[in-house]
Amino acid sequence: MLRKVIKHEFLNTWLQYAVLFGAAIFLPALVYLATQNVIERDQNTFRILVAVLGGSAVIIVTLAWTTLGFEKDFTTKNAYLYHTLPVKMSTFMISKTLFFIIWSALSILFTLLCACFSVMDFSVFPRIFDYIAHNLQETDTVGEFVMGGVWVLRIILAFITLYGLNMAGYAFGHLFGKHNRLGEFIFIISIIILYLFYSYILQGFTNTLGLRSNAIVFYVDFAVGVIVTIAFCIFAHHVFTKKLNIL
Amino acid sequence: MAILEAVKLSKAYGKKKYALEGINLNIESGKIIGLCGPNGSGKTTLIKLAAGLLTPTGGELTIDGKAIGPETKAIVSYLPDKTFVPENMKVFAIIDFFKEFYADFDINASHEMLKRLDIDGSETFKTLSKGTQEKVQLVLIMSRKAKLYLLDEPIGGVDPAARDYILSTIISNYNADSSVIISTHLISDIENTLDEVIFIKYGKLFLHSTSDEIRENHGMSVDAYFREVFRC
Repeated sequence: MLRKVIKHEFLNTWLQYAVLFGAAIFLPALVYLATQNVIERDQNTFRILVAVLGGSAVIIVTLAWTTLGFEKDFTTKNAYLYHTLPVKMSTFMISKTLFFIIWSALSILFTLLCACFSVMDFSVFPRIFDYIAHNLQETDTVGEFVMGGVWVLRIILAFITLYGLNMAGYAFGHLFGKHNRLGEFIFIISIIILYLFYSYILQGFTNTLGLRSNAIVFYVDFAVGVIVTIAFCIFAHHVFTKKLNIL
Repeated sequence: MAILEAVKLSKAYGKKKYALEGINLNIESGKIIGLCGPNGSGKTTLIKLAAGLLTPTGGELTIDGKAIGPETKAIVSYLPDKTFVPENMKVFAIIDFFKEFYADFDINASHEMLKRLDIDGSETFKTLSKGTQEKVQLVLIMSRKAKLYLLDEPIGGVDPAARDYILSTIISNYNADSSVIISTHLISDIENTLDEVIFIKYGKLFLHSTSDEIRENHGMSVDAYFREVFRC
């Protein structure tokens, strides 16, 4: 069933992202060509403006679409359809999270491309690839801690945690009935405050114990990330299966 | 085995507002059942509980002996009282979607029904009139070979001519193994098709009886009896 859900999610969303990502390349390129004959100072202003606005728009719109898509499908407009399909809630959650990672990663890539097309300079890419390769092979970016490819896992985990927070936020809001927005707001704000405390404590440990402890701190942070993500997902799953109230 | 069984089923919205309270119900296969009651009596709540859109506050509800979940959703065909189809999808795309997710979906039956109702499957759902949208939704629901059909006000928004076709579609598409629960205010239109009738009053089961028993015991039609019971 997961394959079918993934296929449907892709068919349902690919076109809007194709248009968004296409615009992220096309518009800067167009502005670049249109400002060829403008004086250099104005030329740079235009191009930087397009790069900043275009890049921000791609990331913000992708975040909005992916997060609001969950709400639309499971708590509002399409809830009657999706909650009556013979599909487990966990399957839907996996599919939504997967596409959140894919579309978010592509939005970052296209934000970079937007910036590159604004000035028609693509030299940043080799440097990024070098940086990634360097970090994957070694090394020693934090004290004596050899991270290798673990940081890639940490980034993926961060994406999953973020979407887990989104799903858990909607789930918490769902418990508030008509005041769902208030519930979502309370949940998200509470988590942000807790995260700030947590970061502060983590930073304190790093500073107190010295650089040699970075590996331990990293893995503790990783483990906390995994636990929190699982907790978000279990909570969202519980609400959308055991406390569901589609009015 | 009962296709739907409720034991002391309750549903409350908020702490005290009970939409359903202590419902005990046993619905056998092969029946068309009318679910009747005034506005706010709990008809839609009962149907939504069976469809899996609400979770009970108390009691138990099973379909074909199973608790509500993906297994029961595979054998229940539910028509809500509002639009449930994504409005930007084309009718044929929606049919393909149903075919993909419901193993009991009969694509030939759906095309046949679209043809008889003169609906263009290549049109986008949102461009259709409200009545046609309701017909498309009914086509989707009745094209399944489900064990239980839950129809919440299926004839409320369509013209009288289409009502006859819809009712004949419901009758001709269900079989001896399946049951149909129809929630409606238009009792006189469907009275002749009903095997059993359930009256719900203030969230409680007031009556569960066969249509013939109502006519014999009260000497009046189901519609007339409904008007008497629920007179304001």
